[in-house]
Amino acid sequence: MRLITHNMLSCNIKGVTNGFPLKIEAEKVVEKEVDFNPDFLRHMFAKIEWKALVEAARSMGYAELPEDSPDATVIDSADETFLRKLHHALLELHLEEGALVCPETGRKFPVNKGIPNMLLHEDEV
Amino acid sequence: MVLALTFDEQRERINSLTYIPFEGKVNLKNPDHNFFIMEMDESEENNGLQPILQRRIFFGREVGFADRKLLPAFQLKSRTYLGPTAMDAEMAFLMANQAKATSGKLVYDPFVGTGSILVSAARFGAMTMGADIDIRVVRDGRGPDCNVWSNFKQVGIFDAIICDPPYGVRAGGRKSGGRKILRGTVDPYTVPEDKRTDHIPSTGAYSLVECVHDLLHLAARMLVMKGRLVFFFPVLRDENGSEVKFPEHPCFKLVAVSEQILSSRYSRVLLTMVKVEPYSQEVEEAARLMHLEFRENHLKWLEEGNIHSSVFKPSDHSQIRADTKSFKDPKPKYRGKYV
Repeated sequence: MRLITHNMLSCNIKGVTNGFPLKIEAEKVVEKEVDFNPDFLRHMFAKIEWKALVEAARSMGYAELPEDSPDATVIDSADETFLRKLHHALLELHLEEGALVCPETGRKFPVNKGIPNMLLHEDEV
Repeated sequence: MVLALTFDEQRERINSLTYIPFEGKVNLKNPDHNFFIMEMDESEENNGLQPILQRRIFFGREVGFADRKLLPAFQLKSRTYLGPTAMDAEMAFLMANQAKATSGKLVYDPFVGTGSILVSAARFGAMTMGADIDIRVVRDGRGPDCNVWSNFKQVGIFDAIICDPPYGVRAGGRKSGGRKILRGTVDPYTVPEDKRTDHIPSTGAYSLVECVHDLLHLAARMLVMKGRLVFFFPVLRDENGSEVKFPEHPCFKLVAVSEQILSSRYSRVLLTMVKVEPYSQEVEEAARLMHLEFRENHLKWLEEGNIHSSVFKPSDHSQIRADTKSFKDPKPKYRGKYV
């Protein structure tokens, strides 16, 4: 599971109102190289929940992202240092084994072989 | 069957178009624009279906060219991991084109299965994401080099959603929230603590109308403006001339309907919709009313099980046989997707 996916997942248990962002319990993190595409990153940047991404990357052992969301000048500048970091955090880090934890209920959604199991049990829907 | 036209026949066809007021100079060696005439022969075989009755001639300007060399490398038989409803590679590429999948775009398939649709979008450079109700299909596959990832190796948020919802003909729709009681559990239903890890929850029936309504709702919320929703929708062919009504949503404009005939009984149409209105609370209410209207007045056969029996009901011919001999119900009980 990439962090771009994590940024879109929330806990959907009936009655839960603050199911986002899910906390990451990382057991195994792998890195897979992806072609760098600055246009895609600029396009995605506007849609990303920044705080959730920073926190998620940190729990995966990557602390290079700035705490505060950078402004448009950084995103559009020719200097790609920031975009490279965003690229790495968003697309190259994979949670292979571990769990996602609902911030409200503590329900653990297991991640095995890179696939988060977000299916709810019979008594949760 | 491809018939070669003689040089004279070709010239005759070219000359028959002189009424078109083209003003440029004709340059056959190095043209700025290519124009094509395509003719369909009446005797053409049609994949075992009824022959096309009317001779049709198409005339058009070339706006793009398909890269058919892609197909051999992506054909399904060369993939290690396949599901029962894996999308044919050529069809998947057409779907990706309808969705305008390209580099820098993010594409989603909510019924991803073995990933056969997203593979094509990824080939065109899009970043892809998928979900499926059956975790075993995506997580486990059939071993380390036979899973949804190996298919890729071999070959609001989202810019496009491309998918093939379960029509209930070859695979039935299932959704979360089943109420199957496990052995050793008590009523009301609770999953025992020791069984929570790795528990595969039971699923409930999911009719196509409901599924497509949810799909439109998801797409209305998750697509960017001008983002595209591309999906297949089944239609019965023996509804004599009655106009087919497709599901509608106030956020979407239908821009293309492309039929693929599957049997003498039914076709599926590839619907391409573009998001033209932003999503809001009022829109949701309007969409709900449209859905209820659609459900009430159209396509009763879309309800659970009906399309299956319409497609597989015996023809009049075999009905006679059925009356004389004991005839088994042709509709098998379908319990969701195979793993």
